[in-house]
Amino acid sequence: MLTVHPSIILGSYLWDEERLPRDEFDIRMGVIRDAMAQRGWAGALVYGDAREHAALAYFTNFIPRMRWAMALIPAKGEPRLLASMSSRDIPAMRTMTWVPDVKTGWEWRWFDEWVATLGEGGVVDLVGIAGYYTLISMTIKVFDLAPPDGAVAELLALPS
Amino acid sequence: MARQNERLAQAAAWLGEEGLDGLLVFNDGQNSFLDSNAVFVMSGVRPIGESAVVIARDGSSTLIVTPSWDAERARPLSTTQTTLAVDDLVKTLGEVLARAGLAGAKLAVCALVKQSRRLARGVEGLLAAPPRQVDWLASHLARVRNPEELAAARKAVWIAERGYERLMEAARPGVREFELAADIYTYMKGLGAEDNFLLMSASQHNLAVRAAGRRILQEGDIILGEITPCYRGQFVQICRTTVIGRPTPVLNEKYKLLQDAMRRGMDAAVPGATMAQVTEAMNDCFRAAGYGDYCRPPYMRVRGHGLGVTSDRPGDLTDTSEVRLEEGMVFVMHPNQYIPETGYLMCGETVVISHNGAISLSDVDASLDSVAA
Repeated sequence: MLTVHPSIILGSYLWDEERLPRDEFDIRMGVIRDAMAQRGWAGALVYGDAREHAALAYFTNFIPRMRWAMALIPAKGEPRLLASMSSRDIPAMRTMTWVPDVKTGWEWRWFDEWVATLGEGGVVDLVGIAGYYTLISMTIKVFDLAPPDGAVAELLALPS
Repeated sequence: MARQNERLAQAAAWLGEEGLDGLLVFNDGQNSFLDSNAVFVMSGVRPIGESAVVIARDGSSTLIVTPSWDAERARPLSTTQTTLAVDDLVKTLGEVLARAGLAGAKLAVCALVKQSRRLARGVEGLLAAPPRQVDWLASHLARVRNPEELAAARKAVWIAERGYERLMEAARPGVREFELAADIYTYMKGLGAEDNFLLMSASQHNLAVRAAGRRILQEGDIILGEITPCYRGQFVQICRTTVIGRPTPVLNEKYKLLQDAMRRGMDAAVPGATMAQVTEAMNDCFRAAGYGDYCRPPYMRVRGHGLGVTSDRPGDLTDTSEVRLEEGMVFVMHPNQYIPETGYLMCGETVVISHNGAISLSDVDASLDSVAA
């Protein structure tokens, strides 16, 4: 439905383990990890923002009420969630996801630290390109990530 | 006859000064209470879908909104000469540019970078040469509220204060946070608030304010309210702290710190002062009380900020911002602070800058309030 978009998403988006148990997310994570294994990816980034967050919510239950968030999913090990919120707000953000490792997206050391765990030559892919393309552009350019096959020409055409 | 919008004339004058032929501004229907909505600034319309305003150097202007069925709502609101409601923004934008003789002209774009890649590439495909990116322009032109906008901001603060009164009436042990939030949200909507960035939560020892959850209010809770209604495009904010039951002496003592910081900040906020100077005036109060190490995240975020959707200027109140205040700027000042003895406390008002400093738009400024347990 189209309507004037609210400045903040209202409603209860807390992770309710009785409705969506951790097992369900284990199954979902299994799907993306199988895909990573088949393609030789070391990790995957799942992005979402206040407007488009289906993929992020599917894997993490996290729905950004405003701005953006990104799940950093390694082929092995626990994921990390970056939320575009102040470190002041991270305790509240943790209540919306089963992912225990939630960090502020305003300090990119958390991204760098995660990338370092992938090791030399790790391949990272983007899953669910959506929302502000400045963020995607920044992620790719600043952190030297490989874009998906066939996307190079399009991405290079983006204004910096 | 479209209502007058001086921002259109200012934009046209700017085009002349810069030797540019036209300006295209964009919005995709998203609204942030912290950001300028460039299409709203130039047209008076908050779109629900992809939209653009085309402004030529001669002052002619066209608003294009999607979808087509939004025409009935958009046309009476729009301040542009022409308003088009369509289902294909890029196609219509191309036609408008051609008719206005702007297809091969020197153009600037505002907020195109915030649009989807599909839309951005479609727009770029219409242009003969790369446009100049002026994402700051709409926010800059609207940085000082005009009398109509200031009146709307005052009305929005009036709504916020009524919302807080409602909170004081309805808050009691046994009520869930989301029930209380829904009550005051709908109450303010009934008073004319078209949008509301409402955060409201409670705890015996808050770490921050957050969106309302399932917590059941109980005696001794400290309710935090960041009440942020929007009226005619003017977001405002008041920050309030309410105790269920009798406030402890230490809570009273620490809350006075926030009130002192608020007063110091308002006195320092004169035209020409930097945001950093105002922030430091507020932080000095906390440093003097021994809380200097708490003047940083996660113990606070910023000491205030601009308010969308007209203009987010002057931006965040931080100790690094060199933005200088101007008379007539409207923003929120809030020395909200985590204090180890009490938890997070909130105190804040929407202010307008005068030659004597900041003036609160509230009738009653924040105090530590309490309701019966």
